[in-house]
Amino acid sequence: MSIVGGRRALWALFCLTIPVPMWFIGPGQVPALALLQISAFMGALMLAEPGPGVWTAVWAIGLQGLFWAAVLYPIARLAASVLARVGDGRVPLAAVAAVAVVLIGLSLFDIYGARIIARGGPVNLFGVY
Amino acid sequence: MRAKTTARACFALSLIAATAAAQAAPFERTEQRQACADYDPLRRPFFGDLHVHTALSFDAATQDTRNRPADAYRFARGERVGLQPYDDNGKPLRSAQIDRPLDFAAVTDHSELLGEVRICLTPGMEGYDSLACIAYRKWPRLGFILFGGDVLAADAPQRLGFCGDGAALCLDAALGPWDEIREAAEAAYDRSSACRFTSFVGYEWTGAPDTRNLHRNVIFRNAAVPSLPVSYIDAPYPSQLWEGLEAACRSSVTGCDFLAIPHNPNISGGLMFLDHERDRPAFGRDYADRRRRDEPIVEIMQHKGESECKTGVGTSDELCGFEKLPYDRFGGQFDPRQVQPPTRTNFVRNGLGDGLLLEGKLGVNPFQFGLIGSTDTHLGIPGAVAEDRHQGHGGAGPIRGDGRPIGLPDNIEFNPGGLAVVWAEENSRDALFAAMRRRETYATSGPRISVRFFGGWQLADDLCSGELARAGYAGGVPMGGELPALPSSAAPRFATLAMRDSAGAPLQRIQIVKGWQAGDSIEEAVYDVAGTPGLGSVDTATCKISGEGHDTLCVVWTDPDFDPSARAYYYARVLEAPTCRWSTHICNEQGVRCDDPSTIPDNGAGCCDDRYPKVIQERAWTSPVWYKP
Repeated sequence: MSIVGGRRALWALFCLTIPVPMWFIGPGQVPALALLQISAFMGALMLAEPGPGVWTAVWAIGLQGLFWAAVLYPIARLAASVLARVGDGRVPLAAVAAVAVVLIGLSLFDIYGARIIARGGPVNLFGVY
Repeated sequence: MRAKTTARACFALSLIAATAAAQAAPFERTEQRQACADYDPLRRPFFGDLHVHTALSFDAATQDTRNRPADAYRFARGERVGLQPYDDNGKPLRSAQIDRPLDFAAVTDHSELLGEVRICLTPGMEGYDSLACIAYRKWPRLGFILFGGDVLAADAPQRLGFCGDGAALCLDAALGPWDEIREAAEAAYDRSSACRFTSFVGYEWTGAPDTRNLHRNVIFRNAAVPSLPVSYIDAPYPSQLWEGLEAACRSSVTGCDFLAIPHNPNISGGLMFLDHERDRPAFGRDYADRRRRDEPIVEIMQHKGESECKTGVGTSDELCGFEKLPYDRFGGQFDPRQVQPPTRTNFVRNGLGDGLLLEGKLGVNPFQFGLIGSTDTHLGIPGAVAEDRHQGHGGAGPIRGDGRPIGLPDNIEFNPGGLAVVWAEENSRDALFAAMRRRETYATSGPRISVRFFGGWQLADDLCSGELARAGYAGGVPMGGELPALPSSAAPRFATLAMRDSAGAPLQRIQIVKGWQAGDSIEEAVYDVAGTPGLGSVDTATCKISGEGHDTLCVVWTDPDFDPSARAYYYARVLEAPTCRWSTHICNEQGVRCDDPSTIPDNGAGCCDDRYPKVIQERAWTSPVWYKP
């Protein structure tokens, strides 16, 4: 796998699974991708039910999602570089798969939680999306 | 055959009894029911809760509250009910039971969005698959913002788009929950001669323009009620609510009558006691008349804070720091930019004073109201006010396996709420409603303190050693009343009898709060009239109380500074000895030590927030007695 491909794959994995702090309309910890998903949904809802509350949700959640996606990108880039050194200039598919297994495995535990996505206690990845 | 005959005989006897009582009762009987066996012409205090939300409320549903109106009444009558969170099988992981049943209650779900919530939570209903409903189900907190913020905090509230033309879908859907509320109230009402429990049909009108709370609970006198509530969407100003109810209730439904109870002036952003309706010009006598008639009582204490007064905001009363919120409007809870210091029109005592001034201008006092407390529970548990077992009144945070919360189960600034107390001859809808209308009510911050308060010109010094109630009614007026015309150059006298809650702390003292007109302004004074300041103490580490206190306090007090030419109000405030606040109980149970951060659990930061006291003084506030020159 090329470095670019590896970097993108890791970034997507990170955005999908790593719990990041949520401040506005939170608090809690959810994946960055979940924030972007909610923001996109609320953006669509703006067409049907325009209002200041929906608009606030779109930008407040969307900005947080974008912020964390931006933070996770250089981390993915660094991880891909490290893996590429091990793999003679290419990112070993097995390594990416291993990272995926670890992250998804961890995400099956109840490591996420925010009132925006869960009514009570912590939830796992399925509870998020 | 014999059973049938016996039943008929009993029914006939009960009707005869009811007729006999109807002749004697000082209130109008508007419903068919058996006469109460323990009718007392000198009246008794009945404890209740007139502010209760269940799963039918849009916000309670987003907190996963599943108790419905019938469950709330079961709880009020003493049964155990489940609380969120629920496991995958729908089994509640917490439960609650009141220590002593209430005498009365009203489920007051938010009238706005009753239909919308039903549509969003009922598969197959038209609108269920709308984006708004998907968001409401999938992200409840966003649903709260969408439904609550964009509808109930709007200046000109609109129905959500999926309600269709003329909102027909949502209005039609609202009939179901409204019927459920009515039927649950009817099923819970004890129409037998035992008169154990009274339920009222009610709802909450939920207007909060710009998140400034103007909410009112509407309580109907009996089972004759409108086909649907008049909501904030239908009537965005309080005066429109009264007009709407006049049309939909008194003018349209035989036997229908109502009263509206404002609550949480403390988070009204100063709107609650203005001389005008937010963006409208100053109101006149018609408005004042209607407000005085249709809003005879105000809820002074509940889960989201106490609204009597605030030290430094129109008063120097040092006991006005009780259960205060750090913001003056709803928005301050969610958005730091909206945190504003409260103004004087956020508080009941200032409203009472301004009412005297307005009476001078208009000839009618629009703020001549009595007082009650309630919980505003959003879990469907009316009367759950105990500080030592508070489970929150909205939603649930994380809990441990044994059902106890991790950290605090509620925002640190909130509290378990208060109770409404009504002096009535019997526990029936007509008797309680008539008492509320004449303002013979009082509020407590939770304990079942019993308080009598009479005003008069010639109340005897030895009233406390005799039959205070009989003499008080004969020679004066009870709380909520107006002193009769001044007979001579006398000063008014006030008789107050307070008895402690047998399950609470001893009493510390009685105070009388007086406000009077001094030209174009209001002066106030607080008199310690019985008991001793500083009596009693509590160990915050164990919450054990110690020291002296009183089981009963009684006093006949004469106003030493009476000015016959000045309008005035007087009310009594009864204070218990200090006890632990709810948060102190929970923080102690969880072993929190603020000098060791490792002992502070998630959701437990409030345990060490110095802005909130570890000790409180529970209390009762009577409705005022007014004097007019």
